[in-house]
Amino acid sequence: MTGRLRVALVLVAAALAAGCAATGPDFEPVDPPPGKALVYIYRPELGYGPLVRFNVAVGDRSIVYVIRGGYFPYVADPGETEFRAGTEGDVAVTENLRAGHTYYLLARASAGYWIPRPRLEFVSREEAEDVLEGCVLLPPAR
Amino acid sequence: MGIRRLALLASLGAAGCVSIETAPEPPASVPPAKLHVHLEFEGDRSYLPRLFDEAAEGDPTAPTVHYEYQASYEDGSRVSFWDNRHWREVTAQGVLQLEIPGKDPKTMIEQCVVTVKYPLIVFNPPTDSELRRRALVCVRDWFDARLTHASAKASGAD
Repeated sequence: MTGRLRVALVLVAAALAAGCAATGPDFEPVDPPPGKALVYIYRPELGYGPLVRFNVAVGDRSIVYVIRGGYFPYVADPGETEFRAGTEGDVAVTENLRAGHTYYLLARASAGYWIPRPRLEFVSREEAEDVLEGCVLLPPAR
Repeated sequence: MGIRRLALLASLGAAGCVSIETAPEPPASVPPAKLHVHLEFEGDRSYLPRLFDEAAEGDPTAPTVHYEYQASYEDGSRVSFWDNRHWREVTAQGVLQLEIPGKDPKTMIEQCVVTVKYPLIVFNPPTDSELRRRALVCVRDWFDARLTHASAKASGAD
């Protein structure tokens, strides 16, 4: 009985985790439009807090709910831009975006007190490329 | 005791343990000299050394200033029986190129490192944006202090 319960629990956990993985079109690289910057916001398939999804916002505008294995290409005006996310605690990271440039914003979850917290970090193209190749397109936040 | 109260108590306890250090310490505030220049700069003007004012367009005597800044991040944890702490470090760097007509161009670099240390569990540590701002303002202030000092020295030598 205990063995069956254990198997059932593992199956439920696997089903829950699978339910939170992103689905959508495969990664397709694009160029930033003229006079704009491009920011790939992405979350790796593997990592802490797979069941938690969080919203990445610029100012008051929600951009995307990041789910593991998903990415979103955000077209931005050049200049200082702050990206925010939050669960039990807020995080914010700012970058001076330049027209014609592409940026890679890694969104992850890390340990929190009650629930996992988001973590945002700009990384190099080299670091992002391999993970992005395995990501699927997420819909924009409404 | 409700969960909210517990959370509040925990956050109050943890809040006292957050420390922020800047190295080098920002210089004592000195009213910067004013220098009229042609600016080549893309970024937040609050990070631009306050010394610079835009010169009249086409002024052939005004120097040209090209200014760029950037920030990088690093973090880590120290876990032991006595001390469980997390740290995050922001290094901001400003690169300033000054071209004075008839003279060789000069490049100056300033750097400030802001380090925040806090317990592994803390509710709202300062965000990367806040640390970056602090570091970039420190860089700006060091440019102001050094350039103001250099310009005062040059005037004294005249």
